[in-house]
Amino acid sequence: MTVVEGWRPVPARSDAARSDVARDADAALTALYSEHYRSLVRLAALLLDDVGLCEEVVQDAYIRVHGAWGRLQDRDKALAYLRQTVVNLARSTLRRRLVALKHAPKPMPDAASAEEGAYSLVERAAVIQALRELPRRQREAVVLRYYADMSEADAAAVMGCSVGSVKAYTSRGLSALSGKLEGLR
Amino acid sequence: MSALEPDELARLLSEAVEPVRPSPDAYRRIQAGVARRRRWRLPVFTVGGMVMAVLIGLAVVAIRPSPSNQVVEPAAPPVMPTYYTEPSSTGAVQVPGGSSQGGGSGGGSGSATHLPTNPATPRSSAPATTPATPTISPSRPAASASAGPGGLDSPQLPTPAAKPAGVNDIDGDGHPDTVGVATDGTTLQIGFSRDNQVAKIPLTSISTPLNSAVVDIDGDGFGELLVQTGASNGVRSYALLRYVSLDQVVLVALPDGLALSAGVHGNVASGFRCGDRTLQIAAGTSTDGSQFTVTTTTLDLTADGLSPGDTASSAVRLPSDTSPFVASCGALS
Repeated sequence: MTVVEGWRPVPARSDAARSDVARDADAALTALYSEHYRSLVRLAALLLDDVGLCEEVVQDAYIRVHGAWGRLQDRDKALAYLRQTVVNLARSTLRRRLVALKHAPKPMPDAASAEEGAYSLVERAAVIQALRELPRRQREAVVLRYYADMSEADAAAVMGCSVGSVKAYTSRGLSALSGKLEGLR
Repeated sequence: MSALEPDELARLLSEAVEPVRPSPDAYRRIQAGVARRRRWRLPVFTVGGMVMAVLIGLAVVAIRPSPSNQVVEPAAPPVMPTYYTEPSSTGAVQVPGGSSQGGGSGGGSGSATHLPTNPATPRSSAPATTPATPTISPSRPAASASAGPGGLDSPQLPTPAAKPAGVNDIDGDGHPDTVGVATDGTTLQIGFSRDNQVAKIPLTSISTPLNSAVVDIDGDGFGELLVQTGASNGVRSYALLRYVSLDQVVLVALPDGLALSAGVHGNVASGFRCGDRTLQIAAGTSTDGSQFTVTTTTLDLTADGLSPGDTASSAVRLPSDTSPFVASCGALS
């Protein structure tokens, strides 16, 4: 289980205090959206097999953070909590997709939208293809360390593992990607 | 194969996701999700609270032991009905359901063999030696001497046959008992019909011929015995005895200043009468030997003895008024 420091249950508040918290949550939601939404969608696009789901995951993460805003003690770490929520939801989505892909028939091809056109560009990127061939833990470590530019400790906190494990996952992922992307360089 | 540099990998990753652009209505979707969450929060919390309350209630009901499951151990072996059966050819009487002598199992499930001294007579002549033997007479099951939980050594009374007691019935078995005087003239002898035992009670004196009466004053099913103990100057004195346990009769003490006597001697007179569970003692004083001031004290006869009750005063003129200075209890009137 992943835990973000500063995330503690707090006592129930009065109605006035609750309305203050709601207003605060709305303002924080707007600020977090304008500053970090794009980068979080791109982070989700790197973690998920289907980039079409990345916006759904990030929007769900924003809604959850907004709902839990009153219970967040250290609100300066709201971005860290948001990132962790995105990673957790991406994991859950991948698990659900694995189950669904085992039973679902192949979808019929339909006309692509403008967004899907952008996503298709992502799909065709060699580094994305190589990244998706990595085990999930290695992929998460590589993305958090080199795309999200997180420290090993922060990545360990988000992934819910030790710093040593993050080092190992990162090293192995980097080595695997080197082999796969050697022809492009 | 050259290793991929971190900076190069970061650049590749950034370039790969560069085409990704957020949809224009993303913020609106988030706000819609927040509103939807707010809208459902109260009903969900309410339903969740109700479900939790129901679960807690069910758990309490399931955990709490049912009163019907509580086992109450009997304080004493159950009383088994007794029946009289004809003696067998070997002279033994089978008493179904009776507890065996000295068995002490408490369950009373086994049958016991009772060997009467006289098979033709159901009532044993010496039941005191067979404390657990039930009375084998079917006509007197309620007057069993073993009905008391403590046995014959217990000071508890046997079960009376009727309340109030019958005529001359001191031991409460429904049959009259006999009262006599021993040859020494000061010992009262009571023959109990319950077990043919004779109780001997020494008194200071007993009038001869014997003047006694059995009256169930307190209505407990055991008759109290009033015996004239003497007569002097026209005043007769009496003693009150009561049945306290099997074959035991004791003298009842009166409160201080009161005496069981009846008669008039000069300016002093006394008398008593039996009321409803009470004994009324009248004491009269006079200045002329005719006009008496009477103080009537009502005594309650309880298991602990005579306890003083109300006191009333009146006046009588003798011999025109009915005299209260007589012994008016049963056959003593």
